[in-house]
Amino acid sequence: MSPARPWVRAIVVSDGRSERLSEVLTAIGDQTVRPDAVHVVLPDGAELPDAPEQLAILRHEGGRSYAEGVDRVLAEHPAEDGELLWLLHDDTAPLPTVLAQLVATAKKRTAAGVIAPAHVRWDDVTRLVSLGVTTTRVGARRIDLVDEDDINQGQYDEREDVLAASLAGALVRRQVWEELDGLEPAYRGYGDSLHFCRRAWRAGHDVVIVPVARVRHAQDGLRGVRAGSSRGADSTYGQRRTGEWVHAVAWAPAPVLAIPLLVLWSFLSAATRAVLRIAQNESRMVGADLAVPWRLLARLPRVPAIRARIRRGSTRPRSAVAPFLVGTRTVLSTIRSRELRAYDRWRAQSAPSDVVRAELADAAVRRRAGAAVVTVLAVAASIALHGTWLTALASGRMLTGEALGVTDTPLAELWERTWSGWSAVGFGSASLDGAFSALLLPAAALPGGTRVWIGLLLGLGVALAAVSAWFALGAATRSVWARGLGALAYGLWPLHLQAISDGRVGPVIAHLMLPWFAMGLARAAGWHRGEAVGGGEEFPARRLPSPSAAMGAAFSLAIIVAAAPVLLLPLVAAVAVAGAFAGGARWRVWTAAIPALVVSGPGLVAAWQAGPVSREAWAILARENGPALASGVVEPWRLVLGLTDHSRGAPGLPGLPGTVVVGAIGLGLVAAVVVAVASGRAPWAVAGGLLVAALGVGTAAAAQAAVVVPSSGYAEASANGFAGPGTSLVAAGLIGAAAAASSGLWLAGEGRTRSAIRLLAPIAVTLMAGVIVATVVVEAWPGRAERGDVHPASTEALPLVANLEQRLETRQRVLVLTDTEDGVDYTVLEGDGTTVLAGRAQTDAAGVPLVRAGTSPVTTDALAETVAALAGAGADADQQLADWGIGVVVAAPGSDMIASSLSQLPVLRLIGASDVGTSYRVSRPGSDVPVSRAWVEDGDAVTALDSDSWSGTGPVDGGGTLVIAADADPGWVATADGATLAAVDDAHGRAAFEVPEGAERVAYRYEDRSYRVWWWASAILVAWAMIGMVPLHDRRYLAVRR
Amino acid sequence: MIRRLTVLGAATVAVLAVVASGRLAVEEPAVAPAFDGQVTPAVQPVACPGPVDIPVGDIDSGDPDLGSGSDDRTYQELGDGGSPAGAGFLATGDAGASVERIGTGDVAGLSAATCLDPARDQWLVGGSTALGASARLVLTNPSDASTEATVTLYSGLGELEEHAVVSIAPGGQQDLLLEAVVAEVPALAVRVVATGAGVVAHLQDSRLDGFQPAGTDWVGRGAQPATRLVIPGIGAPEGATTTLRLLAPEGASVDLALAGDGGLVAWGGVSGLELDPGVVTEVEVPAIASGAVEIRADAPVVAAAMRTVPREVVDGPADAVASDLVWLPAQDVSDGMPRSVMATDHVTALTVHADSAGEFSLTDAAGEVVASATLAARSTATLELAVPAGEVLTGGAGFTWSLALADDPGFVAALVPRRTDVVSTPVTVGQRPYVGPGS
Repeated sequence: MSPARPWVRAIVVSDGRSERLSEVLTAIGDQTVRPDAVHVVLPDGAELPDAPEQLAILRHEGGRSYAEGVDRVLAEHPAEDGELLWLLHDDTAPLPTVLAQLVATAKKRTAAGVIAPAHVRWDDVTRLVSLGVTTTRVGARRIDLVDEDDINQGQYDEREDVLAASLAGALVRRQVWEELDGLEPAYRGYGDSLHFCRRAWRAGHDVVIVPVARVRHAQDGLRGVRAGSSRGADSTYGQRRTGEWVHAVAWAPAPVLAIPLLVLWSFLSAATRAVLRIAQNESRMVGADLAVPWRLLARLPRVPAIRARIRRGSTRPRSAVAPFLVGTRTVLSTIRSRELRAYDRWRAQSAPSDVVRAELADAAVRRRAGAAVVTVLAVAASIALHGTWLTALASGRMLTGEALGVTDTPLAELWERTWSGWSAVGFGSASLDGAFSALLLPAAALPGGTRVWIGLLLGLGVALAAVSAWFALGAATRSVWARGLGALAYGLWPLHLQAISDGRVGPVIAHLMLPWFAMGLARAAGWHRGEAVGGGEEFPARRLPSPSAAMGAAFSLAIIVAAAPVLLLPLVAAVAVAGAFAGGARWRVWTAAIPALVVSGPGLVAAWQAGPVSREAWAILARENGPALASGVVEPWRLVLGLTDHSRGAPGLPGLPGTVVVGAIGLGLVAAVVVAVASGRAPWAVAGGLLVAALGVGTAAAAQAAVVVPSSGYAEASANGFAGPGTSLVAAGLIGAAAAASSGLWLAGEGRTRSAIRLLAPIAVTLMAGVIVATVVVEAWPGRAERGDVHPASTEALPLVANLEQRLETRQRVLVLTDTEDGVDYTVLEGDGTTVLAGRAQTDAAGVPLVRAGTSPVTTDALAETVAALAGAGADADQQLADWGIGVVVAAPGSDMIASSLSQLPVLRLIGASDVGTSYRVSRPGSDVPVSRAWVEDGDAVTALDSDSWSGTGPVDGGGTLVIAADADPGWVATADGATLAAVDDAHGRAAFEVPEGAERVAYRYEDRSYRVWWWASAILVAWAMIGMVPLHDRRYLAVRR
Repeated sequence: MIRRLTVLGAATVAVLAVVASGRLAVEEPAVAPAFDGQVTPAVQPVACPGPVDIPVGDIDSGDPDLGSGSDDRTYQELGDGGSPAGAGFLATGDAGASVERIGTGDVAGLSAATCLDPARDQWLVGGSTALGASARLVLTNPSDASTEATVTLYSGLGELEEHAVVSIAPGGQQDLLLEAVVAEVPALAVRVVATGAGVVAHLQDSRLDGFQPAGTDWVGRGAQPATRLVIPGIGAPEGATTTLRLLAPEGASVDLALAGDGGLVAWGGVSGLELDPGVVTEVEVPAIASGAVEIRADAPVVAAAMRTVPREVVDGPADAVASDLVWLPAQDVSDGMPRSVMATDHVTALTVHADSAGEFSLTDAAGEVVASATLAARSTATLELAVPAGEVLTGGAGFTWSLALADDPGFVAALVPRRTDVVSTPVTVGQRPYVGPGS
């Protein structure tokens, strides 16, 4: 040994939780150049493991951290001349030549304060773990200078000066260590090496890496082994990320400006990363990411001291380290190379052979052709059935119908409805939930609004359902024929056609989303088919459960239950059972039910309060959120065939033959399932499909047997539940079962069996294709009566003058009167025609909102007498109208009787007559102030407020009574200059508040706390599911991680 | 094996589900009852049609015997606060009437009209558009808003396709010559459906027999379709003929009876008379000195009677017979409301019919009894009456009655009282969604 060799003090600090300490000591003992002193710092009571005899080990009682342990050793042992500290962890084992190589470099590079080795994997010394690190100019992202697990081929051997390197296994000059006062405790062990090295540079020292010196590093701390965590590196992610931000804050120039910016940035970054984590289905990491900025805040008080130390110790300018810092481009390329590496590994694991690749290409061509043909046929069927709707939409008209209402609903109306929880229908009422209007918000937000998109949803309902089913059936079978026929059968399911013709938007959406839900569930459990290759094999041979698919199923289920709440119970039951059979993916599968349960939360609570097992509870569970109307109750066997009360025969084929023709698709499906059962193929899938179908029949029959929409006013009809959503389950179950059994049928059997199958299968396919074509022909037959009353109409339901008044700040209501045989019908409108798409408030049989049980709200029934008076040109009707904020009375076109009665009334002023109705203005009796939704009255003085459907505000002059022309729901809150107002009783049952003298500005709004809680919970979970279902790197990460 | 059983088990469950679902108790959806409201219209003035028109116009041929017009015309308008409405007039009181005597010409005779309040739906049974007859419908709108009336005609063949729609300005009047709508209908019934507060309809029925006047009178509105109607004042002098005109909008089976002063009079062959829907049916009424026709039907009917009284022609060709006619619309016996009429000149008698036995008295505006009689059930009485013109006469409730007018030389007319209470009509009010025109 050369006398000029520096004096080396090896310090191994252990927290006593690593089992590798003895191996570390052995490795030190095996060094070609031994350290002059070896210190092992252990916590109290920890046992020093066996060490090589040649090592003279000095044992020390440990501190709380690594730095403390080192400092304790140094405190006890004064510095030697030119002493080098060899800092080792209890999971870093140097290869035998490391110390020699490091010491050689230390001698050569006298300015080097830190001489660090390369880190390699503990179990594979050819794989690199770390070879120097740097950071960005901002400093909030640590950049490793090698890719993790890169194979060490000597490609980095030229590397010398680096910004920083891990101090584990590094030689640090004792003088530098003491000058810099050791490691910075604010980092809590993650990022302190980088900080130390950077300070060393600024203090006039160099940091040198020695790539040929390799230290095996198990990274027990980083991988959570010490803490006993099963989450691996994820368990320390938050600490590491916080360390990076602390670094950025500590080194930022112009701290007064930069630190607040960086903190703000850390919050934005955390939020972005949280969204990304949800998309990656790393739900546990969401919390870790969101905690980072708060951890940073907690460590901020220590930053001034850190910065002061940096300032004191720095002799070199900032620019000295600038060349080491990397810019955005390097960051991006680092991320990119990390992604590519993961992708490469996935490919390497799952790459098909050339033969398989060719088969896959063939299958892809078949599949694409099949998808194209199915899409074209389904669109053609849609056009054949509802082509006139599409042309009407193109010419600016909208679809409308008795149940559907108007479909030209503005975004604001839907938003106000879902956000406030106040249903503005009639005189308004508290609503159970806002799921349905929230569901239609995207349609309203897109260009064209609900008019176009609801129109297209109905007009292309058949095509959309068929295409959805096509994709879903891919999970059950890879036979293009079976997929195509199944998809078209699902799209043309007679009750789906009925729902479209009736304008039942909810059941239509449920029918469209059901296949996506089924596909998501199958893929979430890993039950989907692989592409058929070779002799009945599938590629990939083992299908992995997909977390994104589970989120997709969760999202679809949330949509389905918002559209057709009746499906909640059967589908949650299906999820529960599927999860029980899903093995390791069970939790992923079960989570698919959570968003739907929360979205349905208010309904479930209401059902529970109605008595958990009662007819009322079922009526709530089977409620209709959107358009609904009474339908004839049919026998369950008809439901299985998809027949409705309307399906009474084809043209020229009354009675049984007609039933057979209309129910041909259902008959075909039942026949296919009987064959599937008899064949014994795909038994689990067939059994599952049959059980789903059984659930569907039960749901459909129970739904149609219950009155779910009670009549809400004089002469209004109640509606029973629609069997459609239940039978969609039947169709999905039967088609799924038949398709699953058909998978690989072409290759099934041997000899004559196979020949028979190959003869019979094409016949069956041809027959089913014929059935489908016949169904389209029968349904589109020119002379056949329409199934429902949906039809195109002008978007202008009310005269423009009336509609304008509704949109003004006064938010006047419009009373529409229509002549009947023996009287007059009326309705109170908030918008341009009756709007059903905003969703129902949901009331019990007595008309009381479910969320306000025990109250007796005022409904538009209160106007019946006034309307009768108007019909007879009676006096004093204007007072009642103005009391309820009705500013315009419209006589529908053709209603001459009522129009002339209205003309008799001097208090009504004719403001316009057109072919959409005759409008009369109602004046507020005894006042010039126009009729409004809310006002403050003080004797004869009236001040109108500016309102929307659920809130309003305005200046007032003095006190009086604030009257809101809406039902006196307990949810109304009013304030005057910020002070809450006391409610007063109103003779008409309206919401009224006492405004004190001297008030300058009053405001009112509707507030429902429990609604708000459910709303946010639903919104967050649905948004979570939406982000999580993005198939972001799903396969790559899965392949790499498992 | 387990797989096999699983599939078969699932299939069994599915079949059981279908069977079990059929046993669910079904709750049928229902329609909530509508609101049954009463419409009490604002009190409107009563309106009279004004003087009669000569169908061919006032043609002076130089020979007073051949001219269509007449210099011998007296026209009397009676009613409080009268204001003109077209050719007619409006009155604000309970009653009003007009009577006109035309001595010569085409429309010679007495024509009397009771002023009526507007109605939305009214039936006028009477008139003819056969050769020599003219039917002029006079629609008066006493209200402050314009109204639109739809006139539907019924003949012996049922409801006619030809109909008319007439708009009447506030306080205005419109004429409609029914022969211009449909000609050659010997027996007409007219339904007038108006919007708003309704309209007052009178029909001038004028007839010519060659050159000889065959009578002119106003047809007022009769009772709304009802199952029990009475036409009092059937009594006629020797030589007069009385024809009953009936119409059942939806068809009905009708029993007719003739009540005289001594009770019911035999009238063969008129029980169980079948009326086809919308078909105008005419029945000859036996001659009787004083009486009333009772109509009992199993479905609502409307009715009126026309009496033709012939007279000799002075200074005319030999065998020439002129005549005058009088229309008596039916009254509803079941409402039990008192009725009033404005007395005019030429009032000579009162014929009253009692549905049930009782004491009838006719009082004037001051409450003085001007005539009274005790009647047995289903009998009539004819009382001489001499009251000054302009007196409002009110009869007791539960009786139906009419005033007979007569003047030389054999001119006749009648005044039928009207209900003065404001009749509220039922209206059904319901709620219905509205999605635009045509919904």
